[in-house]
Order: sequence, then structure tokens, then C-alpha cells
Amino acid sequence: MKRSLTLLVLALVGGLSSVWAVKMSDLKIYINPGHGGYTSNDRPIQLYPFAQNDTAGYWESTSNLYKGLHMYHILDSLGAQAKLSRIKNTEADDRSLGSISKEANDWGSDLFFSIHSNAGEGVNYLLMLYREEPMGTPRYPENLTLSNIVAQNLQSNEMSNWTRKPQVAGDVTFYYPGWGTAGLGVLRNLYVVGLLSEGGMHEHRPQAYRLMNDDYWWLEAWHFVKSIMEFYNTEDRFVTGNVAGVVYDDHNLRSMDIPNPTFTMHGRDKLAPVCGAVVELVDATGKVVQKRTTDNMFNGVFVLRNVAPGDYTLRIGNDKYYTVEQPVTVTANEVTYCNTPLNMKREFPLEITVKGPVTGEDGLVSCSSPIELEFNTDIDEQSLEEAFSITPPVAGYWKYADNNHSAKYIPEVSLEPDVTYTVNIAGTARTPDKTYSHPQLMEPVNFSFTTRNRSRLDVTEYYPADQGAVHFAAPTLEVRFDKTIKPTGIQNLITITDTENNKVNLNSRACQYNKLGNGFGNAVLALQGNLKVGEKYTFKLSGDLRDTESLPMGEDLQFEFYANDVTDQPEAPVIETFDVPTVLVGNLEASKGLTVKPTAIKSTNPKLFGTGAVKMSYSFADTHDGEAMWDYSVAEPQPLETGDHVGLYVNGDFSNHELWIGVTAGTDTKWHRVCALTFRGWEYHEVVLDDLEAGYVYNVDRMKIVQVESPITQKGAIVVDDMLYRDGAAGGVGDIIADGAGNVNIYPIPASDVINVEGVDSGIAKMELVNVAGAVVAEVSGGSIINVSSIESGVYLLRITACDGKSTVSRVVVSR
Amino acid sequence: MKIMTTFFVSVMAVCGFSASALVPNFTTPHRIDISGEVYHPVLSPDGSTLLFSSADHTGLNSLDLATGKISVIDKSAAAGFEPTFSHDGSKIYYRTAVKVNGLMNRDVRCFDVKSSTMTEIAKPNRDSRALKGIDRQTYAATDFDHINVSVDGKLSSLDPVAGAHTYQWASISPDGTRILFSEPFKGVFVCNLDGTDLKPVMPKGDYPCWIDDSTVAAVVSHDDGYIVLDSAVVLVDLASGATATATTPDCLVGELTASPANRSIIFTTVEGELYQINPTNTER
Repeated sequence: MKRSLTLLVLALVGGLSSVWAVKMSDLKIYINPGHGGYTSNDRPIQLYPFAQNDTAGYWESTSNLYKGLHMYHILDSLGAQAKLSRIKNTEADDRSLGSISKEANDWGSDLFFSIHSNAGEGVNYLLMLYREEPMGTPRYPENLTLSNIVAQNLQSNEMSNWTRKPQVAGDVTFYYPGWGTAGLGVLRNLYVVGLLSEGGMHEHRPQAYRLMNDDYWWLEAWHFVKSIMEFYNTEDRFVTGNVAGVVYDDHNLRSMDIPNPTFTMHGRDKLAPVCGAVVELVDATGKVVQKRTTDNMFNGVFVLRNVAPGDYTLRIGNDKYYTVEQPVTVTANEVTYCNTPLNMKREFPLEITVKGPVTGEDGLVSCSSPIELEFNTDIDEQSLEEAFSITPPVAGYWKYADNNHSAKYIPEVSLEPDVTYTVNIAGTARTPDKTYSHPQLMEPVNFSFTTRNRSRLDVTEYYPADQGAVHFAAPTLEVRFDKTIKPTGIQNLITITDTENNKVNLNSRACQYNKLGNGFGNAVLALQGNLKVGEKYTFKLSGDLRDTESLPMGEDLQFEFYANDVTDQPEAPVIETFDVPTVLVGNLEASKGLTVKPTAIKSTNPKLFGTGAVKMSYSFADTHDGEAMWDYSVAEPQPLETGDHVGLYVNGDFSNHELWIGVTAGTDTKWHRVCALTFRGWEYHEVVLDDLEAGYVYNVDRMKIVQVESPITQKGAIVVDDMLYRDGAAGGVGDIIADGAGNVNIYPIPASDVINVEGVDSGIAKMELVNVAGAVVAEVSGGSIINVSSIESGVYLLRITACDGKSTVSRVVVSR
Repeated sequence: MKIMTTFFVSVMAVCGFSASALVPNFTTPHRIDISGEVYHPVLSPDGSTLLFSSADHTGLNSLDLATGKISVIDKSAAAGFEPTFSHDGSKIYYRTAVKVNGLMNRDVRCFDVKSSTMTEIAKPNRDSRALKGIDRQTYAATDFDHINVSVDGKLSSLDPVAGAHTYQWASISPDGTRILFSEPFKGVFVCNLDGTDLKPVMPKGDYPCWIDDSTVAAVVSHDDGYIVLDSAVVLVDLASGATATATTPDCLVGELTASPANRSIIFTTVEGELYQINPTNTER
């Protein structure tokens, strides 16, 4: 049964071939200009100079209608019967799709044309949609034949700048699954051959401007009719031909007429169409047989319609442009395309009105400065680039703006510091005028300038240090610079990879830039997700990063670091959870160099343990000699004796200040430095209370941050979480003597083969690696490297004794 | 030729009920579940038989709504495009489409329901006039820019809406006093048989049809120029102007037909499903 139905369908529409003597006057063509009215469904496009939704601007409902009206009249002129689904463009004309197809059926139409244009900004191509039944199969084979013919004819329109070949598709397939399987509403109930033509992309602004032009509408309609002739192979064809084209400026860009055109343009569409160009077709006797003036809608389109076949001269020009004449041959039933560039008149010599880099009050220029030039008209690029020289030579490139009224020579990296440059522009630089007798400079132009002594953006410090470690959970890195940076696009300049070259992404929303003040720059880089404990990572920041003066780093910054788990500590009692923030209270009176009381508030992010941690914020009034003080009190403090250890989890602010803890017995307070705040994120630090008076019981009762002189970190905040206690009398790690002195650099952490130690000014007398039981498992005298290749993986303490007798203890991890 | 096809009917509720006071009442739409898709429904004058076709109008079939029996009347192209019953329902007039010299031509055929025989009553031609007048003395039929009205055999041409572009779906009320029609740019209207007393019924509506002398129904749809976004069966009480939407938003209505004789409403969805609604208020 299905096969017989198929045959019947073929009988209905089959056999439309050249064997029949069909005349245009035999045909009944139904025309459906798509949409209708001025609502959002009628597809307005904001197009300069019109405001969004201005009915005088671009509406697909308008261009569809005028194409349809032209098609109607062309068909009518050929004796064909045509019927339009609408003849106006009002909201009432937005009739139902079902009523349109019913009318086409009622009328006994031979063909159905639904005229549209398509959405799509960056591209411009044709789309022909035909009815499928079922999906994947044209309802009638002739649907596909007609669609291909129309696509081919519309594609031949050389006024448009097509970005790809036309697409021909069945409606159900094209919209499936997004729009279900119903297909196009206007085609669904048709039993005549037809299509829906998407004649280019109206969101592609150059095409939208063309779709505002009556000649363009007419030519699309003419191509529809020509397609009908070819589809039926009619006896009659167009006995006349057409001359069509776009008139455009040979040099000036579209921005000459349209302010800041940010839309996509391809090829010739980048150049300014010429509005008001007079286009004349002149016959052999000199008679102007047809004339057009291009409209003011920035498309330059003209079509000289229905011209008798023959040889003519096409003359194009106006007051602003030199006239161009070219021979054209008009052929019946064809379009002769003459897209024509015009040369603007600039009947005066070139002048340079502004020259040189911008000079500061010191008379010097930044090393990032481009060489800037402005002209009395647009410049011919090639002549300028050939006429330009700079001494000493600077590698760079040209950038033009304001429709070539200005030009910049931009150094590829930067100018050199403390150098006097001399620029020479030879007299051969010229305007693009190809007719005027002297478009060049009247005389060469020379000028000099001297650069300042700063030519690079410098990295001042970064965290973590090379071969340093960060806590694995959503860590934050930071790079600091001697000047504020341009953060735009910085994430493209940064790569963080693990040892298998897997990329670690940044959490862009959590990254911050230039938060230091006093003109210094920084990049606080939050990583996306957690790192893998024990894994080594490589950080790389491209030297292309520039500061706000546009000076580049020049060289890449690259370092390696490790991920550790800071909570992986030897077991010890927790003597303070910091779940309750009131255990710490800022004490302004006891502070120095502060005018605002330091604060302590609860922190749930970050925190390491329990329900919270305590965030300690401070703000020093000056750059040096400050101390921010907090009192610590609890109901039952941990008794402390000499030799005991107190450990603290600290989330540092990379301020380089120092965190100290105070223990008191009566009036005797002993201060111990917990750590230098040279890090971001969590670290664990332990102090040895080795200076307490024997026989007295001490308690922790205060903490302070001691300011280290810095112009950039007067304000900051750290977070503290669990405080641990180790009984010194119980032995174990508690017997290690440490004074926490110096900024010793120990790497790598974790280590697999060796541990390196740097930064011990007086030299290293001895290093001992101690396990959690207090046993020395490795030691070395007189060197800065300790071999751990035979040590079991685990957490150890590294005791370093310096040649001056001082010692320090650091936690290290051996992992492999 | 008549082919008997097995048929079963199952009833299921898929569309909700939404009505308020002073508006027509109706039953919840029930799906008539038959094999295959159903398009272009036309009810017989007594409401007992439904004509239907394929999506592109190819073929003409009838469904006995009481027994569920489907009969194939004609398999030809376009046979399902707006068939019309004779005034007593004994005959079905329709056209089929053929290409003659590459151009659309349509014949006229008559199917005798009782004998199940088909007779060609006009050879393929380019005439596109409606078939309603073949054996009726009283009818209304649109002819694009006017409505042809015949009252007891007296033919007149109406253009009741000022500035009308085209007319569609004209029909005369059961009591023979009013004409219901659509002007797709201006809305659905009723008027007297001479075109006077023009009354707007709704701003937009396709397939308008009489339920009884005081109630009409139509399909009200919205689209974006490409696809139907929403579509519903709307009933209108002509006296009060009160409206009721008989379908829920998840139901995309395609076409509509009704029979005043038994006040039944049949509609299809755009996907080819078939539903029935029965108004429950008594005729006024």
C-alpha cells in the first residue's frame, strides 16, 4: 500500500520537465512573504542609524513583503497568475500559517514560495527548506529540484558576500529535534510543490543593509521568477537583462560612515559602501538609458532593471568620488555584475598633523609608547610604511584607526630604556588619491624622543616559592609585580600543569588582581578544585603580560611546586579548636602603630576543622614598626611548661609579617614566633617553649602580628584553626630544640630522593631527620643536602643546626 | 472501491478542562485512538462519519464514529483536501489533483456512500471553485475576496468586511440565518445572509464552525512565522461573547470540524492525533 501511495504522489508531481510547452501565463504562483507586522516574531535588527524596533529600520517582515510584491509584479508582467498571502505589513497581516497553506491549496497553486531571511550574525549563506514526509524524504521530489534551482540562482547574486555554499534541507530534518517533528507550519498542509527560502542572513549587518534596498529586493524576486522559468523550462524567458552591483570606497572602511561597527564583515563588506553614487548606463549613442542613485542605507547597491541586450558603458561617480567608466554587455535573461570600487577625491597634499609618542611632564616617554601619527586625511598604508624609519631600529607593526586618518607604529616588545630615538618619514608618504597631481607630503618629517629608564614589568615575589609546597585543597597562588598589571586575558597567559602535563584551571571568578595599592600589582590566582597530594606542578606565566603602562614582563616566570596535606601531622591533643571566635579579642591599647582595633571573627571559609576558624584582621597605620595584638582567653587553659610544643594551623596572607604567640605566667610573658607570613593558604607551624622558667606554669594568653616593613601590605587578615599541644617531658618530637630563626628554604616537599636546604646565613653545621617517635633516621654534617632515598614515606621533622649555634625545626614529607 | 479496515477505539483523557461561568461547557477532550495519523477532518452533517486524509491531503478515508470502521474512499493525491458532503450526507464530493502539462489540475468526483461507488463528474481542470453548491440550494462558500451565498437557490456575492483581503471557512448556521467565516487579517465574524449585522467573534481563528445556533468554535494559534508555538480549540457563546478554551497548552491543535446535528467537535493535533469534545450545555 505504501508503494502504491508513493507512485501516486509521483504521478501528482512527476514529469515536470522540458518536454512540456509551459508558458508563464499558464502558471499560478502563490507568494507568502513571511511574518507580518512589527513584533519580536517579525525579526527586527538594530541597524545604524535606527534604534532597536524602529519600524523605519530593518524588519524581516518588511523585506520579505517587498520581495514578494516585486515577485508578484514580475510574474504579473509575464502573464502568470500570482497571489500574495499579504500585501501590507501590519500586525493584522500576521495571519496564521494554516490559513496561508489552505489559501494556496484552495487556489490550485502550481508553486508555493514562502520568502524569508535567516538569523545568523557571523555568516551569510542561503538556506532552502522544503517539506519532508516522512523525515528524510522530500514530500515531492520536485520540492528538492525547485529548492536547488532557487538556491543556485540566489547564490549567483554577486552583490552579496556569501560565506559558504547554500544549504538545501528538508524542514523536519533541519529543525529536528529542537522543534519536534512537525516541521514548518506553512508547508505542513500544502499539497503543491513549494519551499521556504531563507535568502541570506539578516543578522549579518552588511546583508541587513542590502536587505533595506529596493533594488536588492527586486533582484531576489527576479531570481525567484527566473527559477520558476527554469523549473518548468518555460517557453518564455526574460528578453531583457540586468546590470547590478555594489559601489564602494576603494580604501575607506565601513567605519567611515557607521560609528564603531562591531559587527562581522567579510571581504569587500569591510569597505565603505558609497551612498549617493550616481550610476548611469549609457548606450552607444551616448544616451543615458537608465540611471540610479545608490541609497543612503550604507549598501551601495544598484540594479539597472530590464535592460535591452547590447553593449553599454556604465558610468559611476559623484561629487566626492572620481567617476569610473567601464564597458558592460547586457545579455537577455542574465545579470551582469559590476561591483565597482571608487576612489575618493582628496585634491590636496598629505599633512602630518600630530606626530610622536606622548611625552610626560619629565619630557620623556614610556618605553611602551607607540609612534603615533595623525594626518589631514586618510593615509595610503603602503606608502607610509615604505617612507617610515626609526633609529635605532625598533621591531614593530602598524595599526591604523579612524579610517586611516591615524596610524601607530607599535613596538613588538617595547622601546629600550634611556634611548633617544629619531623618526623619519620620507616625502613619499601619500594619500590614496590616485588622480591628484601631488598627494604626497610637501617635505619629509623628522622628530626625536627619549625614553624613560623603565622598560619591563618586574616580578617582585610570588607564592609558592620554587620547589615550595601548598595545601592541596583549592589553593591560591599569588604573583606580585612592581606595577599594576593589565589583567585582561591574563588567564590565557598562565599555564599550570602536573607532571603528566594535565592542565589545572583557574577559578576565574575567585581570582583577583591589583589589590596591593601604592601602584604595585598582583595576581591572586585561585585554582579550580583540589590538587593531588604529593604531585609536582609547574607554573608558567608568559612574559607577554603587560603592566598598565603596557610594558611587558619580557621573560616568562616559571617555577615548580608541590601539593601537600597540611593536616597530615603527628597526632597531638587539640588545646583550642577556634570554633568560637570570642577566644580572641583585638586589643588596640596593647597594639602599636594601629588606629583601628584589630578584629577576630568567625571564619567558615577558609577553615580546616570543626565548625569554624578565626579570622584575624589588622590594618597598620604606617609601613613599619606596627604590632597588632589580640588577647586570648579560655576557661581552662592548657598548662605549659618549658620544653612543651604548641602548634598552630595558619592560613597566611602572604604579607611577610610575623605571627607570634605569647605565653604568660603571672607577669612573665614569653613571646615565640610562630611563623613568617610568607605564604597563602594553610600551613602548620610549631613552636618550642624552651625559655619558660622552670617550675612555673604558663598559659597561652595572647597573639600578635609584628609588621615587617613593606609598602604594600599594611592591611591583611590571617585565619587560625586548631592549636595543638605536645608534652615536652614525654619525649618524642618534643625534645627537638628550635628557635624558628631565619627564612630557611627547604625543598622539595614532599621529597623522594634528597632534601635541599638554603638560606642558612652562617652555614649548616648539621642536619638531622627525626621520625615521629623521636628517632634520628638520617643525618648529615656540613652539607646542604640530606639523602632521603632510603627513608620510608612519611612525615618527619628536619632539625637544622647552623654554624652560629642556632637551630630550626621544620616539618618535611618523604613520598614516592 | 471500498476497503474495510479493522478499527478500534480507545478513549483517553489528555487535555484538561478549563471553563468558567457564562461560557460554553464541554467534556474533557478524549482521544480517538486509531492506527496512523489523521489530518484534515470533516464531519458529516449528522455527525456520525468523519472524513480524513494524510498530512498532504493524499487519499480520502471515512471513519464511522459509532463502529470505528475505517473505509478508504479514494487514494488519489489531494482527495482529502476539503471534501464536502451533500446536504443529506448521502454523497461526498471531492477533487483529486493531477499534473497536466506540468500544471496543477483537479477533477471533481462524487462518492455515493450507500453504494460505495465513485463517479467522476468533472474532468481535470484548473477550476478551483468550492464544491458546496453541487447539490445544495442553501450554502455559503468563500471565493478569496468574497463569499458566495446561495439561499434557496438564489446566489449572491458578499464582501461583508470593509477592506477584506480574503475570506475563508464560510458556513451557514443550523437555523439558516447567519453566516460564520474568517477573514484571516481581521478575525472571525458572523453576519446575516445578506452580509448585514456583521459581528466580530474573535480576533483570530482558523476552521471556525457552528456547534449550535448560538455557539461556535475555532482554532486559535500563534506562531513565530515558522512553527506553531501554541494552538487551542476555543468555544464562543455568540450572545454573551464569553469564550472557553477546551484544550490545555500541551495540546497543539491542528484542525477542527463540528456537527451541529449532534453537537460533537472533532479536532486533530499537529502530530496527527484525533480527539473528540462534546459540549454539555443544552442548546439555547
